[in-house]
Amino acid sequence: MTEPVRERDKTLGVILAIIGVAVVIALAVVFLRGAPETLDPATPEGVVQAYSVAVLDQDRPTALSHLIPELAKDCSTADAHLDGLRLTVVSSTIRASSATVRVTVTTNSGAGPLENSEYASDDSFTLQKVGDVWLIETTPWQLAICYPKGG
Amino acid sequence: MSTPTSPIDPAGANPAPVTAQGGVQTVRRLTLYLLLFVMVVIAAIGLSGLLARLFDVGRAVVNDDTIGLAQSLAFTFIAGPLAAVVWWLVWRGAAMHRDRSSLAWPIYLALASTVALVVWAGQLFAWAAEGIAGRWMPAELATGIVWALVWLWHVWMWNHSKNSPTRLIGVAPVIASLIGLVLGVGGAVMALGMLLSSTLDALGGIAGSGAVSIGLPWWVPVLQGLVWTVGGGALWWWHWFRVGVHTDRSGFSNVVLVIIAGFGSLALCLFGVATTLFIVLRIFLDPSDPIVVIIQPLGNAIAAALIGAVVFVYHRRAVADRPAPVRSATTLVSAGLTLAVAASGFGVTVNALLAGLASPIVDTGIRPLLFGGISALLVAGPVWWLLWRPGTPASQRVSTPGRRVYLVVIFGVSAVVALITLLVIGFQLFASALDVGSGSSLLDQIRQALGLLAATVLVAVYHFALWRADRAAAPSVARAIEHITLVAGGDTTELAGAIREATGAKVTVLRVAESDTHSSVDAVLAALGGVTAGRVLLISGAGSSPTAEVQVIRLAD
Repeated sequence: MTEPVRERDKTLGVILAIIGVAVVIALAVVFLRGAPETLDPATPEGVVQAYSVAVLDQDRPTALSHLIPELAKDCSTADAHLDGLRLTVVSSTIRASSATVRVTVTTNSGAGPLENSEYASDDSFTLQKVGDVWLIETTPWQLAICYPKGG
Repeated sequence: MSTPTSPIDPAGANPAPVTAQGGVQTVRRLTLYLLLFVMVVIAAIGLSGLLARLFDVGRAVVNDDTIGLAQSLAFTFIAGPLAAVVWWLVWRGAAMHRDRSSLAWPIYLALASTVALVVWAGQLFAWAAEGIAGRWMPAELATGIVWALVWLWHVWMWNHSKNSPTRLIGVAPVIASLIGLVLGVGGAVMALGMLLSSTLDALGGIAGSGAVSIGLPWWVPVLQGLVWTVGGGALWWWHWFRVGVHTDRSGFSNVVLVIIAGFGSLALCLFGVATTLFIVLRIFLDPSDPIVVIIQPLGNAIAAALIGAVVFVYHRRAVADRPAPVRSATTLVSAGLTLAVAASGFGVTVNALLAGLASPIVDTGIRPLLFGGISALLVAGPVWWLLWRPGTPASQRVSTPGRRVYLVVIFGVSAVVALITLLVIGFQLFASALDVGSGSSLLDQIRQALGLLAATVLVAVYHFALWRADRAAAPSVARAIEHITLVAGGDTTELAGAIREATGAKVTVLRVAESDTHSSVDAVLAALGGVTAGRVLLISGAGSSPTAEVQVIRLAD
């Protein structure tokens, strides 16, 4: 009669230990992690990062400077959707004069412990090489601050 | 309404009910009640439209809506008389003599009066609340008045001395008390939440970082919430105390009580406490947003915690007066709720942990995610512990049927969650394998599902161990009798309960028409002693003398 009780209590103890360890590791990882590492601004990924950070900081001039001139010059303002935004690079394809950076865009518009609403989707930036600089041609809609007039 | 004392009296002043006939009669009843319901709804819409125009006389500047008026007139003068005709067909003595003991009659009355109650209470309270803000809403007032009359009419039929239903007697008042409670609690949370929010804003203003409020003065939403509180509270009070729902011991009333005490109030309170903790954690440990933004939901969260706690404590006391199965069902439902919240909290914590391991190029911070998970886990976990008492040794635990059902439900839910999360994870793994992608983005795609899966696995492992321990500890005694059909007169609740407890058998009661009494519990249990059979017919004699009037007949399987 006592054998199963001990076993059950052992199970609960192990589970509580797992929960405790997971919480401690999560706290450590989240608090000790630095800001995302800054990529080389001469690469397409670096341009995507610089542009996105500028949009998040609402630094419109800097963000516009990373767009191709056709778009930046003649630009109808669009509102970016930045709730709990997070970008992870899936892959980048670099060709002679153009590049595509695929990203996973995660947004979280939840505002409480029981209404967590994370949503992840894949999308891509396309870039063109103008002179020596990579400039962004299209962005995921969450990060769009411009759309072409008349288009 | 005229006899508020005790329409929920099971004995009732309804002598010699005639058993309702089935077959074509059932179809006739269903057709008539459906027609009546539709006619009443259409006529009420028409009347509300006409009345709203009446209230608007002298206010409307331009009124050229002839089509709307024609519609209201048609609804009123076509559906109204037709409703009267159908009602006469339903209500006349001969029909009622056959129908009042059918199930369709109380179901129609409960459905129609519930719809009417929801509509009139919602519309009239909204009208009063908007009136405080200085808005005149004739349509709400008209709809509220008309549907209140429809409701009173149905309550009158429900309590009628000759034609009231003889089955499902407590259902309509129980539903009405629940509606009153929900409206009142919603209003109270709104009023208190607004009050606390404006207090916080004022404090912030003193500290120089308050939100600037634009629009209505702060006391208007508070008063609006109070309108709903008073209205809903009055509805609840009337049905709970005056109509007597709090003394109702029917199955339906017990189920509703379990939902309120075990689930609704506890969920509201947990939500409030967890959100409060979440906000406190963010204030101190998450500098990403200004404090004004972070504390925005704090007022409502505290209000939900307080009001939820009041409702919870009150109904827990009500549950304490009910039979043991109701008490244990309440505890099990609460344990399931807190378990689900704590498990999701753990899942979100794992999700945040994995998010911290990925290397994004842009990140606005995952601390809110982590704090959300931790607050749900910290609030729901201890409550689950108190309710479930995992430390109890097996010898002191009783493996009740409810507990076994609870374990089976948990296995079922775990299996569904595991299946869905595994599908998501598998899909993303294959998608990533077929198409070149980075490990970081794969982790970002599957971390939510992985967190949930981890939580589910822990829940399933713990309860599986519990299930095995219960099986090992349970005395494997075969029941002597599986099913007892009890034929007895009078109030058989206690007798049936005693038989159930003593034998563990399923008991079906057939009530005797002529007799108001039955043999004593001791005599019945004595007669059952030593009987072994699959099914047993038990006929209790009239009178409570312990003489051998009890007949036990073994039935063939």
